[in-house]
Amino acid sequence: MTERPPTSLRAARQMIAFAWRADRLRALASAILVTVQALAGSLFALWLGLFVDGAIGHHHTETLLAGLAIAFSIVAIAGVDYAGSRVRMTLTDRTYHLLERRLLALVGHTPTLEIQENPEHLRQLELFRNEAWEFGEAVPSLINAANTVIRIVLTAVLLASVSPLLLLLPLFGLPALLLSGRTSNLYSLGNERAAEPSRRASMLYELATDREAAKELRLFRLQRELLTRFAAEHQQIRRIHVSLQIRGQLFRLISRTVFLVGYLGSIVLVTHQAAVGAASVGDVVLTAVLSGQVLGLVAGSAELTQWLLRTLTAAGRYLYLEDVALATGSAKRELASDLIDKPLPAGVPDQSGVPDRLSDGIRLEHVTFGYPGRPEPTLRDVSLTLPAGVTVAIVGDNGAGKTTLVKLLAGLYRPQHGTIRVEGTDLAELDAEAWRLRISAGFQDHARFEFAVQQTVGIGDLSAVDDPDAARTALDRAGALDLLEALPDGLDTQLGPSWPDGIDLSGGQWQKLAIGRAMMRSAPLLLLLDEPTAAIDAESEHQLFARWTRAAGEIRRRSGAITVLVSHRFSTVRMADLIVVLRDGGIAELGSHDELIAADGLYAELFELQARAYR
Amino acid sequence: MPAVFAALVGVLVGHLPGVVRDGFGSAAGHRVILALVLVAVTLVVQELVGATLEIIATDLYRRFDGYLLGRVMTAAFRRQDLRLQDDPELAAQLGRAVRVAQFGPGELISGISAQWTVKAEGLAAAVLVGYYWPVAAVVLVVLWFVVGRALQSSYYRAQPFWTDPLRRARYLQLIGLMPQWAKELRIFGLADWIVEKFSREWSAVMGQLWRARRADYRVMTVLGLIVLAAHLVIVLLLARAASSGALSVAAVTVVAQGLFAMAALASQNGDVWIENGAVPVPDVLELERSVTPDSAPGAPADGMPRATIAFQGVDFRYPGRDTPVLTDFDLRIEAGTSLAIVGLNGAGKTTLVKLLTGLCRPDRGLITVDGVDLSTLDIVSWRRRLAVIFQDFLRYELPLRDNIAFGAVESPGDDAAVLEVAERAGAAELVAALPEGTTTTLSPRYSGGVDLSGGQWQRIAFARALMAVRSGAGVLVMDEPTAHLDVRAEADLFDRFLQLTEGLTTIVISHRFSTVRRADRIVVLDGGRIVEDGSHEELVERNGQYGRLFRLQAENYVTDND
Repeated sequence: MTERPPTSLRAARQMIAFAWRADRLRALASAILVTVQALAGSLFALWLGLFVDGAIGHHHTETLLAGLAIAFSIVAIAGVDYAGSRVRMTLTDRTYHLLERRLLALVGHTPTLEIQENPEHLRQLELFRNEAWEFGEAVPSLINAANTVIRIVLTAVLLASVSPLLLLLPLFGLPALLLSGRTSNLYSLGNERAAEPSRRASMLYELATDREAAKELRLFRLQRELLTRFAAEHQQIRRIHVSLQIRGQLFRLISRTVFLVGYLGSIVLVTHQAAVGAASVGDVVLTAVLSGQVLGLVAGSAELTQWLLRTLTAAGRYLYLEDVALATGSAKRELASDLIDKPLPAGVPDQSGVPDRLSDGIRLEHVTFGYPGRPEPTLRDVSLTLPAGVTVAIVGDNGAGKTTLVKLLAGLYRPQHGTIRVEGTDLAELDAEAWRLRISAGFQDHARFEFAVQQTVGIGDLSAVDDPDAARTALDRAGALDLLEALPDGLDTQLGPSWPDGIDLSGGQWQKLAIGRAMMRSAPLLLLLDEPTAAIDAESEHQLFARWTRAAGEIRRRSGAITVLVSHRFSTVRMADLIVVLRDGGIAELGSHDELIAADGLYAELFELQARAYR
Repeated sequence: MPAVFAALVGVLVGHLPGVVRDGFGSAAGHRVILALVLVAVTLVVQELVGATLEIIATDLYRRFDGYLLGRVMTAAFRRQDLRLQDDPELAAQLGRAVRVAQFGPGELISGISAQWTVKAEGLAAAVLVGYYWPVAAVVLVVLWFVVGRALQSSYYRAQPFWTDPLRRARYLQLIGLMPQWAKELRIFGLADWIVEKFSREWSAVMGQLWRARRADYRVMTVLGLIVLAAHLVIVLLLARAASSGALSVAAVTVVAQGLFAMAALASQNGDVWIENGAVPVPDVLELERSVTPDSAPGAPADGMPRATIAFQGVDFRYPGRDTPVLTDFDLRIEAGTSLAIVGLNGAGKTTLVKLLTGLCRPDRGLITVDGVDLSTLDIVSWRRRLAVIFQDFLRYELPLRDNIAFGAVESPGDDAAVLEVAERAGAAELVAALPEGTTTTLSPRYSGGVDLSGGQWQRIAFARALMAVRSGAGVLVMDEPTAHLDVRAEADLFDRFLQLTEGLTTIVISHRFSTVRRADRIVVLDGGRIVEDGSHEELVERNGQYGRLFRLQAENYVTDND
């Protein structure tokens, strides 16, 4: 496997630390209960041996005491098992939640899109989510491991008390332990081999049951095809696992047989000693029962090792993601968010260096940016000045680098070469979160936040997230008041059909809400509009842009605010003060509409292509 | 097996004093040796059975997982129309079944297997104890059974929290982590807000769960004390019997081990799995009960439409919605012509397509094809006549070949056919650039797979529709076919519009005038009715809604050169 990134030891240490922080009381209780359980389990054999000897030798007091111990042991083991599992369940829940919460904060505070756009990071993130259950087992399996260790030690002591030769018994268990690593590898090999079929199977399942996909699947009559393919993928997954499992079980069988030889040998040994009078009958009972437990312990510790490795691999994913997040610059501020029951400390991004207004504007100096895995950079050596107070339109063919430019301005990407300067300050030196408090954005591939409309729009400005007036004003600016009127509960309408009373919106309607969200901040220094109106008709887009240009225009002029618009529609584009024409990652042309038409270059050509529809 | 083992240890112990007295050569000695051999056999058999059980149970687990998911898919497919998706109640039911089935019903198998194994051990132990001392066995079986039930019911109480209530917390987690939300999460600085909301949701649900779990500690304490008392009595009686010689040493050994093993009767081993596995089953069964199939045999639609498709006085309203989308709607579409439909968002354009394709049925009125009521036609046969590109067309994470050949699933054709339609859809260059040609998977999530841009996907979707046309579809329906194309690609496509739609009945829905104006006829929808109807020139001339919007836009494209 390519990953098993940080060491298991570090993962184990982290998990224990998390458990301790998540719930001290239960962590302590778990430890105590485990010890009691282990003691009671191992000592049962001792009591039983004493009981038998007592009975044979007619020592009444001894028999009675051993009997009492037996009764208490049985009930204690069951009781501790019950109590322990409850305590452990809650402890696990809390530990796991703490971890999720911490990861959420860490990833959420990474300034760039690094984690979400790097395929390997994203894969780890998805695995982390999918294997959540394994991950949740990390604490219990650590506890079980502790239990096993205690019992092994106790068992060894007791066996040694019968005959030191019996201490050789665990040696016969070595093959089982050694092979368990192999079996564990087989397990991950199976998961790896079955990964693509599994992914395909769940893709087919999601496709078949997706609400939006239902139309097309029916019209193209693909129902049976999908079912057949799904069944075939599952068949293959099973084949992969069964063949590997047979191999794994064979290994196991061999190693266990080795142990059985040792086990029988030890019984024969003690039986023989009893026969010659060197041991009591009680010792035989003790040995038989304890040795049987050794089998369980060896099997258990072999399985446990596998299990522990597996869960620690899952826990390792958290550490991997934590490392990546910290490396990408997450959480410059202290993450004291570790106690579940306490709210996060109020995070105030470092505002120093972020200007109150723009006079100089934003300058790109020799900016180059490429996506990992692509040979050619998407933007190459781009230098561009966005003067304060202007509206800038960016046009160009698909793949010319328009969206990349927008993301760079938002600080979602960092240039690989060159600098972006805001009022002369390098954007990389500003606190990304502080800079973003002064900008706003709307995207074509906007996010669907399935909250109540109020929050779906309101999160555009968290300081007014629950303010209905602010949301209404923003929706008005977005030209979406008619949509609001059509919703059954107005701003309180729950969005998303899978929630109780949630309603579904069309693509255009979702887009209008996204624009409304972008309009929540009334006077950002930089507004980025990356084709947010693609699903809306040309006239509405034109109106929207014209309205934005007029509304609060005075405030923007005074603060020197810049609006950047990406659009395919030249009816809107021509309104901009400055038009940037991108081609193949570079700036092909630059100027106002009239200048560019007069230049009769790429812009004029594209404009003419579109204009033909209107002649 | 453990019970057999315990019995053998009993035999061993029983004869040991004899061996001590007479040595291994005696009859007791032989028995001891026999017992030792049997112990060995027992343990080997136990191992073999364990290994086999493990293999079978795991495979069964996977099989069951696949089986239940397959049943959900089948249920989702049972209707040819979209009732299951459009009716809020049914949609909620489907959504729930779809979600819960993914939790892995196969755990049921592992759970039952684990549970039965421990229960069997416990029962075997009870038999052993019962052999020597029936009363003790019966009392303990009953006691452990009661304890087991009490433990189980507290698990059941915990269960309902797993699925729905935590969903909101899970959803918030997705928002915080996954790429779809990543840009806006950062732009608007939502990280802390999401974390707080996530924790609040989680704590609220888990608090309830913990309270539910806590409720039974008292009952359990009482039960525990009763069990303890019973054991004390039994063990004391046992000790007395042993001391007085009423029970042999062997019997005492067996009973004491049996008592220990009987605790397994109350074991909750595997219960959580059974619970998790069983949760989805009722939801799936309920879904299957609620979904009635709707496909009735009908007349074949081969060669249709030869003359017209007509909407006559059609009313339509989505289930659960107050306002109708269409009221008393009339429209005749001549076969072999092209029709464009324009109108504001929510004017009912896509609904028209759904009605025409039998995905929805009119509440009132009639849709006819060549005079035949659409509902009397065989729906599958009619759909074979249709080639549709929806605005939200599908992006199959499958090889390119499948993405295109899915246009004609009954007669997929060979690579040559795929390449031919790709060429016509303007996707030839794109296909040529694929690393593994037509077998390249169109998703970076698979080895050798590639990522396509929106514009590229749009061409693939177009090629899929053309594949349907190639295998005999006569009606081409395009819902915003150029939304993802850039200016140049869009212009290119529509330069070839007439060539591509030759001989077909074409229906195109679009905001873009460049797309719309090439159609033979344009209808403007507003409030579920046709408000304008005519060719582009006629409508511009008439200067209604269409003419006004066109002129407004056209003004923006006037240059000084004109």
